[in-house]
Amino acid sequence: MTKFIALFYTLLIMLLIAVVSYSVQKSEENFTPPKYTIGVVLKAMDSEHWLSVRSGMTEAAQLHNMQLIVITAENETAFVEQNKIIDDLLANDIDALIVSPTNINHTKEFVDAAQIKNIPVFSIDEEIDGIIYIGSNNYLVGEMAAAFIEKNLPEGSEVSVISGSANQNAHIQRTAGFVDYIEKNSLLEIGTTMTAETQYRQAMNQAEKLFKERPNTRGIFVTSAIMTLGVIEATEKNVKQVTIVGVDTQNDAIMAVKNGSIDALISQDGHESGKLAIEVVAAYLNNQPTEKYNFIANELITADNAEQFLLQEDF
Amino acid sequence: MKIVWNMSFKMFLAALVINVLGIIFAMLLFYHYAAEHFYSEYAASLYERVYIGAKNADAGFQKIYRATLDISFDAQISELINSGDLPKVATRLRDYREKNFLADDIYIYLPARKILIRSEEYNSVQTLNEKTSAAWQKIIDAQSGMRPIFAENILSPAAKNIFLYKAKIQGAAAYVTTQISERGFYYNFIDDLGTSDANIALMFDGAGNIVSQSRAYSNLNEKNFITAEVEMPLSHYTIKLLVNKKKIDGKIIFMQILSVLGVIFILLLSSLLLYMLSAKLNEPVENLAQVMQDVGHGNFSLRAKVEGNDEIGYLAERFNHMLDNLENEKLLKRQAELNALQYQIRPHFIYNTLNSIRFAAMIQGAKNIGELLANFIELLQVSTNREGEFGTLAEEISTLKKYIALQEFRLMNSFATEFNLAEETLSCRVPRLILQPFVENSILHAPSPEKTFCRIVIASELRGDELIISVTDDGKGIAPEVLENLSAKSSDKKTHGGFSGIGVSNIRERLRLYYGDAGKVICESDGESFTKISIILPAEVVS
Repeated sequence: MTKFIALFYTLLIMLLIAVVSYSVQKSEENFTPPKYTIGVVLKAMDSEHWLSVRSGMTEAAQLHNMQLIVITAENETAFVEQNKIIDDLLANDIDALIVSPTNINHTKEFVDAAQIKNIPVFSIDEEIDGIIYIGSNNYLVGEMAAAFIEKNLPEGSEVSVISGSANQNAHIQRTAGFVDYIEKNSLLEIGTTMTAETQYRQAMNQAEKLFKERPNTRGIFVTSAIMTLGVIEATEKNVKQVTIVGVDTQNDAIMAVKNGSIDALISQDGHESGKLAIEVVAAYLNNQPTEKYNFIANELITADNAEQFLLQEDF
Repeated sequence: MKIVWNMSFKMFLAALVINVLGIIFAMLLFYHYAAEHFYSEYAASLYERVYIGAKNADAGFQKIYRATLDISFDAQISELINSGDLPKVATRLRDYREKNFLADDIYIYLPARKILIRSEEYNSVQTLNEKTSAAWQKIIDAQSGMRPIFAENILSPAAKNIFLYKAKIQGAAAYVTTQISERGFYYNFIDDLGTSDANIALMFDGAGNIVSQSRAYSNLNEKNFITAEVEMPLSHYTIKLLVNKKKIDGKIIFMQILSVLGVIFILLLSSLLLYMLSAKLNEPVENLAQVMQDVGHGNFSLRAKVEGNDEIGYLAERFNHMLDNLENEKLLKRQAELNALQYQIRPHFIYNTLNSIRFAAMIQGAKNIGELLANFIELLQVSTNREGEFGTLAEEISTLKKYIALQEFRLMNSFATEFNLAEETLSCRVPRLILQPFVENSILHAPSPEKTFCRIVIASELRGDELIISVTDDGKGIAPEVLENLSAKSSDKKTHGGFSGIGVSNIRERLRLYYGDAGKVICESDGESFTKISIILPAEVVS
């Protein structure tokens, strides 16, 4: 009995000490401000794709105790402005920089500047030489589009590409993947490869031009969703029976797939690549091993599975 | 008043002490955690509030930064500046200002010509004097990149505090600056954080200088406030919110009172329950105690109530059992006492009657009958006398002689006795009436039709430490099978009372009781001409 009482009191005292020490420790605990500040410069904020990239980044940044400064240039071609923004960012105490360059021919300036300041640079959606890349495997995206078109068109049909800015690696890679696949693995013929700015209107104009110049066109691969929407407007005007494949996961384009005006989209989940980008940066800053290429999964969206991609979208 | 420290009260007290300790401990813990939790929750929500406010404020700065940058990259503006169409530049600036509600006004400064183009309707293009232009140049030189500077707008009619962004116009020797009024910024972003009389909101720059605040911050003891601050990544300004602890302390005091009331309430409730519980638990004990007390006063018919399967139930049951036993024993004892009284009465009555008869016989001259009666009375007395189980051999022989005299009177010339006793044995201690059964056997069973007269020899001797007493007759002897029976240790202890029927086994048993293995009875006979019974017992001389 005495032993029991002694044990009881010992436990009681131990509990008290634990509680007191815990609470002392707890009162010292404070709210830690975000550990890292990441500068993010995206191509534009005028499409669902970039909004969803930012959403994925914000979500992952909260998880990894980071804060973001997300800034975009006026549009996807304004590389001078983008570089100025990057300069200002590099001067503003950031721990890492994520860039989706508007022009791959003008990346050396800021890559060098970052190197001098010892700030790691990551590229999203757009590959830069020697820089860690996060995004789609764009060559594969082109191949996937080609495989779909090949399956859906009879032998000997003529197919063309309407590509986004020739200054952007993503579009170049997609086009290359598509053209290579068609030439090597199919009996289809490449008509022409046109480039336009990655905008609705230009894409529509290019498509109209294409239909005028090459009336035998049976299939078109368009390397971005917003351009694809422009292309289908031109198609509808000309009442053409053309198989159209686009790229990107964004709601308006998926709706178009669902109602049949676009035949297929190669998915490029912005949310996923945004998230992945922050995860890669977090791993890098925490001295964990990182890969040079960090690809997100690309899938083929057709009328059959469009519904489930619509549901995946956050907004 | 005398406190009765009975079981139930003690149990109640013990449980109450443990209970009080437990409740107080739990309440302390609860109070501690509640207060701690309350503070940290409050601080967390405060931080959350400031975090969101800071995010919005930083987004505001970013917008102005971007707008300034956009203007600097506006090819049309640089063209207009270069062509000298400055009023048109002002118009364009007005368009930009309208798009950016935060922008107080937008200036383009041409340092070479000391010309200022403003986004105002009135006096939109002006030439600055030497002093003003130098001062303005100094102000705008301090800013570059994403961090705004905090300055006084010396170019506005009424000087006011502003945040300023600057960018070099691309393709022209000019600078664009966008000004945000400090008050405008405050009411747009900081005032929202829930400032009141008890709260203070402020914003300071990277160097720690206060750039915007709700009211005077100086002379404040920060210990009286719960604070939360967030540094904004783009502008590197920090927004800080201070909430007076007094505001929360009221809630904590309320919580304190609540927990004390809670303790008191739970204590009262638990004491009541404990009291009821201990009374209930103690009921069987009290019952048992009451019954014990009553039994102690002589009421043996009472029985305790047996309740439950526990120790108390067991106690009550055993107590009842004990009472049952006691009552039984008491009955038996009373019976035994009665019997004993009867036994005492009966012999006296018999002796007295016999003595009366003896005296009557003596008076009438029948001396022979009187002597016989005297012998008989003496024998009776010896046989019924329970006190003194031992006597000397001499006394035993004397009693035996009286018995023989009586038997001689009964059987007339059927036997003769002879005593062959060693002198030193006479004073030895022997159990009473130890010889009589054997002599009786010889008298009754030795004679046979062939030989109607027998001789009985009673002898005694000392052999070492042993006293040997023998009864020998020359009668018909005992058949070998009967002898064997006698020799075997018989457990038949049946006695018939009186003198007859007391068997060898009875004597053997008595000897064993008195002497253990040292007391023996040995029977010898050839089955036709003699019987010899020897009693061997330790010699013990009575001094």
